[in-house]
Amino acid sequence: MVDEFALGGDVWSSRLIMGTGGVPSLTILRDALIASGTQITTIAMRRVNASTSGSIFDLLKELHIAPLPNTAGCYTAGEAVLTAQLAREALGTDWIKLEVIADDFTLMPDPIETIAAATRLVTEGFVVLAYTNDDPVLASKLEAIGCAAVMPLGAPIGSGLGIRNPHNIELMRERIAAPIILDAGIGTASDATFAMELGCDGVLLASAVTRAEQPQLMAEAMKHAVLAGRKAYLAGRIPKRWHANASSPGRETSRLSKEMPIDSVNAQEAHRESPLF
Amino acid sequence: MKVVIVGGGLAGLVTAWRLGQTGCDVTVIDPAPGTGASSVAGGMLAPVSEAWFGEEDRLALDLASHSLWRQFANELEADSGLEIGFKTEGTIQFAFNQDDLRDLARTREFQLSLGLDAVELSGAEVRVLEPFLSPNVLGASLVKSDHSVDNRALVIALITACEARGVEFIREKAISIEFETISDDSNVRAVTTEMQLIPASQVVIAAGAWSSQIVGAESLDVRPIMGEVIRVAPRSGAAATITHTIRGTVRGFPVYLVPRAKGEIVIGATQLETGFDIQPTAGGIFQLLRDAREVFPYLSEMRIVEIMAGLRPGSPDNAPLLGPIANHGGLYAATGHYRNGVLLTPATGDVMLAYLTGGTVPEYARAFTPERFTSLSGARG
Repeated sequence: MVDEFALGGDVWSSRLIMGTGGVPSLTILRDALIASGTQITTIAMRRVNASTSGSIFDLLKELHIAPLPNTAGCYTAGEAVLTAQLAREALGTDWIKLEVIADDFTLMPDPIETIAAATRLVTEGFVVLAYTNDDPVLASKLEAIGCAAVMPLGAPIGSGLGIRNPHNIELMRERIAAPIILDAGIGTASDATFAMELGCDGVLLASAVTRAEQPQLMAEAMKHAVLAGRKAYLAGRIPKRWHANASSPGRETSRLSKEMPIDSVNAQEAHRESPLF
Repeated sequence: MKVVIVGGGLAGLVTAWRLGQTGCDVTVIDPAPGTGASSVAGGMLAPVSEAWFGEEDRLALDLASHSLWRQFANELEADSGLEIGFKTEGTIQFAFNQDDLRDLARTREFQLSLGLDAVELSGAEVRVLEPFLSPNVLGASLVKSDHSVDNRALVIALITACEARGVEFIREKAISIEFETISDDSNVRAVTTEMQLIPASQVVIAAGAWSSQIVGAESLDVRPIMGEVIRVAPRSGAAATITHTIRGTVRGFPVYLVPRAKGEIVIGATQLETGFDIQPTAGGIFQLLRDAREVFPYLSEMRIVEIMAGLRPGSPDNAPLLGPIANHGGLYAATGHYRNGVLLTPATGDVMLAYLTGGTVPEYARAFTPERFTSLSGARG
């Protein structure tokens, strides 16, 4: 089965988008990016000059990874739009990861400024991937504006706290057709898997890899985590049960053995008595 | 034999001085020696508090240079007749909030696992050592072996010692390296400046962040990483101060305060990859002052002496490029020192002297040749 990831007018085989914040060196970043199998990597346009030789942009070019410019460090819609315009000029791409934060210490997105910036950027022809709170209502509005993807946080940037409100992500998945990319809060591989199991189309992470003791190894873990979560989501998980239900064939269905000890009838009775149902 | 050194920062100056001591004919080309990153730096000699996961190889180099420092300082002070402010009070690596404390504990565990010396201090213990630090500092590591030096005094002492040893300074901008023929493996023959051609049998590229801008040295994998620094001083005689280097994170933002003579303090440093721009930004300076003041409240009463930005020469693995540049006979690099140029000054001198005079290159430096990057990337060249 081919499970391609359509985003911003292109099709990708990797659903893991990498960030670069907190990386100790370009050598370590290089190894991590290769291990992650990522095809898209986001860069803060305010922090890096695209025309400097030997910069992170040269590294992405060498590795054939698409740069996704972001507006990190912007506090107003105006700044974000300006940064997006500069990024378009510098990189020749219409892609922009829109990030308008409210303060330095939570780095939470400012929803009102984000909506304002997204509206203007979509009008100007940008492919807007909007960083947002884990609010399904806000995400719907961003989709309605014309954002190419919504990128809800799982927890504050760099916190590694995982997905604090998984139900919101599920609600978001239920009502949104646009790609959902879980952005921020991933601490370890199980968080990334969980995001995909909740129905996200992709995961964006940086600190979990760049600040790990062994970034390359963690990047590889994340690659597998995203794949595992995606496949599990597509495969359709089993319903949760209160009591055991033997996975070995029961006596009625077994064709191999007439001596199966497991009593599946009892299991079903217990099931009915369970307070879960 | 004539050696021409392109760049009169710490790497170029120490190489020139070491060669000058052997009686070698040495010329340093720099429009303004010692005024680049070497003068902007904080002057920390801090391999332990700089240690980070995955950088163990560079740590070994840092530690090797650190062990040379005391002898180096004595020798340079004797040769120049100038003091360089070598301070051995140690470094307090602090944590401001609970998140910072967790990060610090992780760092200390790593330092200890490598056999490095870092002693846990409570907030109260920190304030016994440094009474003027904020009571909001939650804890720290005391790293006794992380020292500091007045890097500006160091630059002046090196220039003085070079001149005493007959090193010639040409205050012009180097433009290109000239080779004997146009083939890829040709030997060097000269360096061209805006004004003249200077013949050379050996050339050392020590132009810091600008190293790969010199025609003929484009293969050097060095990029500029801007850092902003503030220097403050007491406004009058009686003033609160610090005696150790104070460095750490305030709500995740790194900041350091390095004490100098007469109560002056160097506060740094930001990191921005915004090209060759060295204009300090309001945001960078705001952040440094905000965080430094949280740790050292008396800062509010001090006078701002200077706000500056410099360009660290960054390499892909944060370690320097020391040694011959592939193919070209007589062409060498001493650049890419990134955050550790001051710390690595003694090692740079010894290593470059060995390369240039056919001596034995110290074991600790052999992995750090410019060639180590050529196999990585075909895109650069």
